[in-house]
Amino acid sequence: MKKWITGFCVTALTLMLATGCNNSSSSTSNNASKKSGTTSSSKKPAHITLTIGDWPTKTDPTYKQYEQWKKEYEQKYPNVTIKESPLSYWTGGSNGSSFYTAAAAGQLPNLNSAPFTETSRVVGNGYAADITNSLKNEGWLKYINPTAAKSVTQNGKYYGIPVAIQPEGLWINVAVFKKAGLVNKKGLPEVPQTWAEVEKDAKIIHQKTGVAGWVMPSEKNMGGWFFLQMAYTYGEQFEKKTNGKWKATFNDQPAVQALTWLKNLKWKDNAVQSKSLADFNYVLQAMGTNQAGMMFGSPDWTNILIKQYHANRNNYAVALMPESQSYGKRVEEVGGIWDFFSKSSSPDQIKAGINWLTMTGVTPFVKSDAVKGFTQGVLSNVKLKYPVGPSDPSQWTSKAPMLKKEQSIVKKHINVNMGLYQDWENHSLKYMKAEPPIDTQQMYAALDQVVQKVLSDKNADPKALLDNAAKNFQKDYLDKYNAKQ
Amino acid sequence: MKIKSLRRIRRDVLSWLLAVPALIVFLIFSWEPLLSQIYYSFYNFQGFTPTTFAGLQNYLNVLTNSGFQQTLLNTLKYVFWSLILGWPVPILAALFINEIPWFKSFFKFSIYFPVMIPQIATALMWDLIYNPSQHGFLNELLTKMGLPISQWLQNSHMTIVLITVTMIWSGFGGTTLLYLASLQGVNRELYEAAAIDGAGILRRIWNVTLPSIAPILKLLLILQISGIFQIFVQPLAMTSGGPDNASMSLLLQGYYDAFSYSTPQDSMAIGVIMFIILAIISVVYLRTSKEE
Repeated sequence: MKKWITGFCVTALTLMLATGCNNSSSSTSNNASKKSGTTSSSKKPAHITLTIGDWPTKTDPTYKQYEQWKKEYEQKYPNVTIKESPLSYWTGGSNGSSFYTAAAAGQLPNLNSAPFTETSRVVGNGYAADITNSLKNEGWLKYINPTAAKSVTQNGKYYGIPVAIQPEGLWINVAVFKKAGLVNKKGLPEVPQTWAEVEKDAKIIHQKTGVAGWVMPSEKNMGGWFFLQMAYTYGEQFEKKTNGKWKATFNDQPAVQALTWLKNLKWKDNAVQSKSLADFNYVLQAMGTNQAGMMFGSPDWTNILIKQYHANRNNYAVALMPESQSYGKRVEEVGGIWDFFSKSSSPDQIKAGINWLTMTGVTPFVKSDAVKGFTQGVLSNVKLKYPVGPSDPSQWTSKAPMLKKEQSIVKKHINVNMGLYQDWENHSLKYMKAEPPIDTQQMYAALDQVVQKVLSDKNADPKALLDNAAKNFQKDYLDKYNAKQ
Repeated sequence: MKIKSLRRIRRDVLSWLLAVPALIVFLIFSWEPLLSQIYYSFYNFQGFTPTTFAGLQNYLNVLTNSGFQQTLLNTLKYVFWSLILGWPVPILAALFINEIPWFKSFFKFSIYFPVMIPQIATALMWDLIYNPSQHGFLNELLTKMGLPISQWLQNSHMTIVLITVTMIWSGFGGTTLLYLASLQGVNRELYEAAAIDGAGILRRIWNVTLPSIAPILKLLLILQISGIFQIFVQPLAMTSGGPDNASMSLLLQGYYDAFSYSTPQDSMAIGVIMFIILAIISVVYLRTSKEE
């Protein structure tokens, strides 16, 4: 009897295991809401569940603002239930591994954010819905900044909405500059305009304060990305298309000059951080704790330092990228953030998502809830002591009615010394450049190795390193890409 | 005959039922992913969705990649250094603990303590210890001893060795306890007989202890080779495979291919290549064990 009871229990356990592994009945919020999102023929609008990604966690200072927006939204649109998802491209680091795993499993929220660098990957892998018609119906298309539009379109179709353009500039730690005696009578940093001036200041900073004059990440593709921006200011073009074939060209003179500058800064001037294997968190920490004088950055990166290191918003200045003597332009790589809808989102969910963006102030039109939402966002930043005032190029054209409204709202709530952004506000001087289009992440990985080598080996030959990197990148990626075309 | 078979089946059915859950788990979590990986390694992918049949192209892409040779060599170097530095350490620790008359429990806990720390935390802790600045922990010690500071992990000639040291520190405690358990089973009379014959402690270890625990030595050797060959956490957390790919391992490269570069087909090809290499090593081990 005992034997048979044991046997029955084992059989039951086995069956439970087998049914537990059955996926066919799983219903994701997307699938469930896709069913419920279809427009019904009855007069009442169908109930929709809209899952929004990048939702802040409860400990995040912006959580309360998001909850407020959600409450107001659900009151205005009672047929829509917002489901919060903390899934973010930025979860777990900057390579989006969790994000892409969820995308591959069809588990992306309806509405997602990602940087411009990911457009080709998100769209190319079929994760984003084509929302051209939705945007046309909303009347948004003619107001999207053409520069920003390049980052959210493929083959003339819109796959997302640019929500912020965030070019990088020269990010300065004011306290370190003060200690090094590099400020004027008003206490504002004397902004270096050229790479020669940056080198001089970095050297002085290290000599007078002992901290790194310049910090540079070199891991997880960030080293490659930073180096790209540096080389852009020397006039480098990393990939060129000739006779229909792409060629890696980042081993020519401009890139060599940029890399040689970095090498001299490290080994001749001793002004770069000692850690040659540095990830992005390391350099942010250095800036946030006054252990570094300068690096690349944008005004909104100061928010990270305030949040993580309790930094002061008036301790950071941002200027345009320095120019090189040879090229003479203040080149900014077109960075930014775009929002997109997962491919499984229904037209009703897309419409609901666009309404959500409007409510949070992302719209080219002046609507009462958009103005309220934008103002709430600005006030939230003021409350969090994030800098309000410095501007970025807008994702909308100058004809967008909301643009002037945004500028007036921001102007009313400026909470930072705008003298720290005097150089940055010269938007007309900015020469915007998009990142290379083919296998960019792999290129950054290859350039990471180059940056690491230059920072860890004083005998490194910049030309030889770039020749080798360009040759391997051409063989491993571009030739294969060209062969497929 | 038929009745006998039926009786046998009836007698054994419970044993089979007891084994079925484990078989199902093994099938779902080991065999199915392995066979799927082998199957899909011959396909192109869009994102994580297989598209067209690619034949051997993915393998050619991986094998002809300019970094593959170095990555494979790095992985073999990890195995080599872990055998040189890491294989004797738990044996010596077990022998020591086995011989000491006092504080056995204290030493057992002390050597096992690092095993209880998550691997990521260990890797990050050692990354701080290896900090190349003047104020890094090890560099401070060197400075106090009047020696020049070192670049540690940033020196591409030292990176793999230093990461191996981290792994040994983290893992040798568990292996030591296994050896210790094995040592407890060695017949005491053999030691007495050896002592009567005039054998000193080293001779007793060489002629009695090591041959007695030879089976577990060989088993843990093959497990170590297999485990280290799949090294991933430490290079990911400490160096991201740098400097200049000096610490990149096959599994880490596969991870980057899948999640950073959106080329899961290359990642799967790497996985299958690793499986083939480890399968060959395992077959050689099993054959030699059988002959013995």
